[in-house]
Amino acid sequence: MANTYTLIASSVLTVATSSVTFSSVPQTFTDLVLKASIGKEDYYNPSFDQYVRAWISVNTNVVSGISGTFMQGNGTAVLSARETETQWWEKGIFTESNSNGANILSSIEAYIPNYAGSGYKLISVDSAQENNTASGDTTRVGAYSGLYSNTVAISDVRLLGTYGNWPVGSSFYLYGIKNS
Amino acid sequence: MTNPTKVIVNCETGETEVLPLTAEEIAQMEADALAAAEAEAAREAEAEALAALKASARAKLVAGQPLTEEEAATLVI
Repeated sequence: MANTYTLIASSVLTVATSSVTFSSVPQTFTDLVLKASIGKEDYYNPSFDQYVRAWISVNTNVVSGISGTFMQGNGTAVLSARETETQWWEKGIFTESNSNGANILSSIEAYIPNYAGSGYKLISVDSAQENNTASGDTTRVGAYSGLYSNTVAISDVRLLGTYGNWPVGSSFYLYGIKNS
Repeated sequence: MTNPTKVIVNCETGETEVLPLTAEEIAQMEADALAAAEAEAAREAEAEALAALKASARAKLVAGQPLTEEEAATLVI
C-alpha cells in the first residue's frame, strides 16, 4: 500500500473558469489523486441543467479508448450503465448549475493508479454533492470506474465543466502517491 | 454567463495560466454538453419505461390477470 501522499500542484480559483488542467505531471509517483470542491456552474441552458457535471480527461487530443461503468443516484432513482466514450469520463460526476438548488457544493475525487506505467490506464471517480441548507434538495452521488485503453503514460489531467464557468473559490488539488 | 476561460497549471514550473476559450472550443463544449444531456435523458426515459413495465406486471400478478410478453420478461430471469 502506498505510504506517501504529496501535493503536486493546486489551484483555488481567483477567476471563474470552465476547466482546470494539470499539465506536465511528473512521472515520478506511483498513483495520482485529484480532489476538487466545486461551486455552482453558470450553466446557460435550464432545459438541461440537471445534467450539469464535471468531465475528466487525461492527456491531450485523446479521441478514442475511453470507456467505463457508472452508477448514480439522487435518493429516489438509481441509474447504471457501461459505456464507450470518446474523450472523457463524465457520467455520474456531478456538479450543479446556477439555476438549481441553493448553496450546493460538489466534491470529486479521482484516483489514477500506475499512471506512468506501460499498461492500460484505470481511473476511479466518486462524486458527492452537499447542500448546506435545510432542504438538502437536488443532491446526487455518483461513482465511475473508467478505462483508458492506451499504454501511454498520463502527463495531463483535466477537469472540465459542462458549459460554463465554475465560481471563484472552487478548489482543485493534484496529489502523487509513491509506494515506497 | 460570462465568457468561459480555462486554467492551466504547469506541474513542473508551478505556473498557472488563465486563458479565454476560443470560439471553436466554446462551440465544441456546447455540442458535447447537449449530446451528453440528450443521451442521458434517453437513458432515464428507458429506465422509467422499464420501471413502469415492472409495476404493471406486479399489479397484474396480484390481480390474477394475464401478463403481456414484455411484462413477463421483466420478471423471468
